[in-house]
Amino acid sequence: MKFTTKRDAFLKPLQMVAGVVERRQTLPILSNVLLRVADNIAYITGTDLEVELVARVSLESSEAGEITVPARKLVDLFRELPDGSTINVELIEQKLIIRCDRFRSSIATLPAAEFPSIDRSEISQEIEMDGTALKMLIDRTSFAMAQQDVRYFLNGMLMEVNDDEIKVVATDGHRLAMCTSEIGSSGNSVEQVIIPRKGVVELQRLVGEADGKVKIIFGANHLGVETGDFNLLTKLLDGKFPDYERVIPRGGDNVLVADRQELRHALNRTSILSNEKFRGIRVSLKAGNIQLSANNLEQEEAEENVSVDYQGESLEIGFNVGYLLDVLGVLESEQVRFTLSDANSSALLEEPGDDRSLYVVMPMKL
Amino acid sequence: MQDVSEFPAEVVPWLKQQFQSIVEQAENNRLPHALLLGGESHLGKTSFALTFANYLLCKHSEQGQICGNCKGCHLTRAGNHPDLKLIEPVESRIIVVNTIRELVHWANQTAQQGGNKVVIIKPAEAMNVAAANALLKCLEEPVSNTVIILVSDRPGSLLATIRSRCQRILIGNPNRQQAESYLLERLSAVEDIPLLLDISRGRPLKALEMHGLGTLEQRKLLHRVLQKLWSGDLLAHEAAKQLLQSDPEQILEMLYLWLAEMIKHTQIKDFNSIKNKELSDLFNQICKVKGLTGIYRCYDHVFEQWTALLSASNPNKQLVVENVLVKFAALAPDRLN
Repeated sequence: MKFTTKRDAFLKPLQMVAGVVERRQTLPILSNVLLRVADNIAYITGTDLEVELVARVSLESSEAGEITVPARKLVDLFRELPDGSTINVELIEQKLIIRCDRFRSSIATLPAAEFPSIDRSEISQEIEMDGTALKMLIDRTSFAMAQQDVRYFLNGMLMEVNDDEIKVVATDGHRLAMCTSEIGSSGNSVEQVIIPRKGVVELQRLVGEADGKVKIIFGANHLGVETGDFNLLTKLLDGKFPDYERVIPRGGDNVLVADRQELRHALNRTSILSNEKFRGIRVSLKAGNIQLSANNLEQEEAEENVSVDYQGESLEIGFNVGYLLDVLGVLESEQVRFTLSDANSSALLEEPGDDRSLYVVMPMKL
Repeated sequence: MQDVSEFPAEVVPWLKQQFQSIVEQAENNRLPHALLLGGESHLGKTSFALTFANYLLCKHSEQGQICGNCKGCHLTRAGNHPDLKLIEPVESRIIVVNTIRELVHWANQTAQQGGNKVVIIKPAEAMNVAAANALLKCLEEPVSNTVIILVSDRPGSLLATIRSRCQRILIGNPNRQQAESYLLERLSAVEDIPLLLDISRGRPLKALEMHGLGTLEQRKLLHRVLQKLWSGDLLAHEAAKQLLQSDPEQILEMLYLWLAEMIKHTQIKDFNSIKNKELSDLFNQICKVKGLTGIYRCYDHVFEQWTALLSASNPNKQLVVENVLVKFAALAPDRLN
């Protein structure tokens, strides 16, 4: 294996890949990245066994081959070499020789055959969609994923494709977030996968950098996402996601529309004096006005009145304020719409005039 | 303990039949999600489990044979297979709950190489109660294509809830002929084989290990020391100092087995069939002087100290050995000086 590259073209992708590699590794080879060169393209692969990231870098000249080298050392070397320099990399007798101007180094390697890259067989479907749309899907729902729940299938995000729609759902059993987007092509078959938390985090990081189209690849055991220069693969959670449609309250008749930022600030202020553990807040709805009140174990209390557009019956309902704030934080509209039926039923939160995102928050007994 | 995670592992000859039957189960898609390999140590359970794991992870395996060339085999051989988890106690003798929680998290994800996933927990009795309970959920609601293999020297000490969720494979001792031919292929010191097998209670791998550790020399040393102790030429603490050059666990085990055999043969008055011939004279004398009760008392004491040494409490080894030797010296005829 042999290739020549510009430092600046190589460093950024290398750093992205090395970011996936965890520092504390049980298997020595996992702290390595796999370098594969073919047809004047270098493929850099890093994995922590849950997710795998492959970066593509075009090269000026090359000879094919593959090898694994310690990620940390390679990144550090490339970073410390001068800006704009040209670097020669060559594999000689199982050592990776890196030359640049008057600098020369030799790094220990491990054979490429021992590198556990994800098996890419059995691809069932590929779809292409807008990168920013995918980013919105994840940003608007990922907060609702459970953390280390024994219902392990909740520790991730459901991704569902149906004809011309892609939908993601996350829930921890107390609240649920769902976001839908158009794919732009129709006739896609139904597909349902659960992406583990780690995969969601890496995906979020990746699509945050990318613009343009991304390709989503559904495999039997993995999900792949391809942006221009990167290819992320994540393992899936092997389980059945709960029937989320059943928990979405339809037909509530008490509809409240409030200014999102105003309500958010009011909730933030009031929540300071709520019970730190349960974060309960009492919401009393009257025509045209809601009163937020909270108190804690030290008998401290706070209340605030917010004018809203509300014509329904008087109602008193408790919520975990954290759940409400999470939702208000990811929405982007001027206003927010609550749909409630009574004090014991969950609330539906939406953006008025935009039904792509939908949130369900369970009430709390206070 | 023999070296673990050495691939390619090979099933020992006396377990081939059992291995074949489990492979048949796998090929007929009738493999249970959890296996419990139970039986004494040094009978080849670990290599059984590793070979079976290798078989399950090989992409072109046929009739129990791995291909050795696919990616699965490459990764397994390099010790890097992402779908194989080997859980062993680290630094202590206990497998803690966090290790098992990580395992459960891992087990709930799809296989990285798209085939089976295999977990080997060895020894399973090293899991503490919290760890064992954390595993239960996973054992009970297995994820597809996942096989959990528990390897245990003392399956009886596992939680009943763990045992009942596994299919048990009992690993027994090989017969004498199998054991001898196995050792003949591996040892040049042919004349030692019968004795090695006797003192390893018929476990060929133990016999191999004993040969490697020079156990026969240790026996001779122990013999000499006991003789001197008995005749009053050596005091207990001096004897202990000499014995502590080798592993005290071994010494106590040897002594324990000797005493057990002694008792057995005193009961049936048949001293000719004693396997530990070197010591029979000495024991004969003891028997004459103190009778069976004396030996029993010593036997109980050695057993107590031996288990103390094996337990997690980590007693002072020198004190343990001295303690035993003092008891042993007390068996000697009363001396005036």
